[in-house]
Amino acid sequence: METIVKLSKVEKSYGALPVLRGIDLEIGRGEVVSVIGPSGSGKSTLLRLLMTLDRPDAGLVEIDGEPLWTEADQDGRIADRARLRRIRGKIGMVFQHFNLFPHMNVLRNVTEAPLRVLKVPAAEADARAREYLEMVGLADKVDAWPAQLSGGQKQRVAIARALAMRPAIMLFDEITSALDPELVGGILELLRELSRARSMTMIIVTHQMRFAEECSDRVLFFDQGVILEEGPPKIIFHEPREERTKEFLKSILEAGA
Amino acid sequence: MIFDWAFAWHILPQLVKALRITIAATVCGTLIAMILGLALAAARRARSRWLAWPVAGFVEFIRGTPLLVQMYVLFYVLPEAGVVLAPFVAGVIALGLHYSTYTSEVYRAGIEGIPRGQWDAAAALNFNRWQTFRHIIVPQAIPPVVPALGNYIVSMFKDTPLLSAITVLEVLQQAKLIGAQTFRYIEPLTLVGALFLVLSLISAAGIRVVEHRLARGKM
Repeated sequence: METIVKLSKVEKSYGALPVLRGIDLEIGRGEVVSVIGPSGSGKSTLLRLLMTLDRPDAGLVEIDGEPLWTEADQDGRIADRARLRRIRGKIGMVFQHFNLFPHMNVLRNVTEAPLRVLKVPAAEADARAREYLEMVGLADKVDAWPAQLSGGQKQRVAIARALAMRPAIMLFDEITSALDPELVGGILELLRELSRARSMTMIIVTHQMRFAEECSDRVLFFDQGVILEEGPPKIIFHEPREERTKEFLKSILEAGA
Repeated sequence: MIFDWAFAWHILPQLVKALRITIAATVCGTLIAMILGLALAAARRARSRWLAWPVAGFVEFIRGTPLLVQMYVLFYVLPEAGVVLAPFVAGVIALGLHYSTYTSEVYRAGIEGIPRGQWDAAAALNFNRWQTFRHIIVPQAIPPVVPALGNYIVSMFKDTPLLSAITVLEVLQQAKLIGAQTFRYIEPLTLVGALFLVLSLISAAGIRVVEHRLARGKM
């Protein structure tokens, strides 16, 4: 499998707090990877680095063979804007708190970036947005405003919005964590469908263990800023090698019971 | 001293005519203050220190010095540097410049009130910085600060009599002229006060309408 995401010795601290302490990772094109682990273990930071929302303090991140940050990049920004935009164009992200644009209706939330960033003609952007909104089950909400939607509906819009940019890599940052329990299932079902298509590389930070087990090719267990254990879901969930992994899974199971 | 209603009625047209200059100065000054203020707020957020710091210094300097002095400088000192401005033009620039430093702070508060998630979402969708600012941040940042911006418009309106100091024939200057010619000051000055009061109340009401519309449109 061709490598699309590669991290070598990546480190990141926020102030004095080390969040990632030497991450080495390769993800193949079309692979679905779930990232699990206790909060504060660096899972979300990994996604923020890949999305270029933050930059690592050390190490190398490569997307599609292209390094994200180089020596020329100062003050947390990529000096070469064209390169930054080319790399960002390959990646989409869905956030825990949706981050919909509250001043735009649902349709506009989805058409805005294709129109302005990809310069897609208006009619095509509109058709594309409706197609993705239908896919996420919100065909009847195109004219609604974000404030009128439930959390689950907002997250569906956010997924459609990211998909409309047709990224090669999709990052999902705890996208069910802010939802009421009864809305989680629907979003997971949607994610499941996306993962089945295997058309995108998906990196999913999640606390939904059953979902991670069923849908991923590989599971990474993050603990205290390192990937403590990784492997196929069968192994990680049923025969984990590390004591910390066992403890974590046990605590999650107990919390769920 | 007795208020002469007939005399007041007699001079009212002259004052209303001069009031047009006052209103024109307010409108032009407002345009400058609203646009330049936003530009200053954006520049203060620039990543380049070579832009952000001088702009911050400029804003603090203008805010920290009196508007009247700034008018004098534009009108009486700039000609020595070869820049001769008509009184009205100098006055409007001074008003707009002065108030742009206040509105820039208002815009800044509005922009800082936008959650980080909005910036993140815009970056994740590959908007560039200008697009993010123009289409994502500013449209959300302005509605909440409309009342504060409106207050500054009214405040600027009430500062327009300062224009009389640089020979602009606005309403107060006209009232003083009438007083000098007729030796009656009470009527023209009372009328000036009344005209300002009426217009201030009208603009305050207008701002409330805009505020209300924005609140409804946002949902």
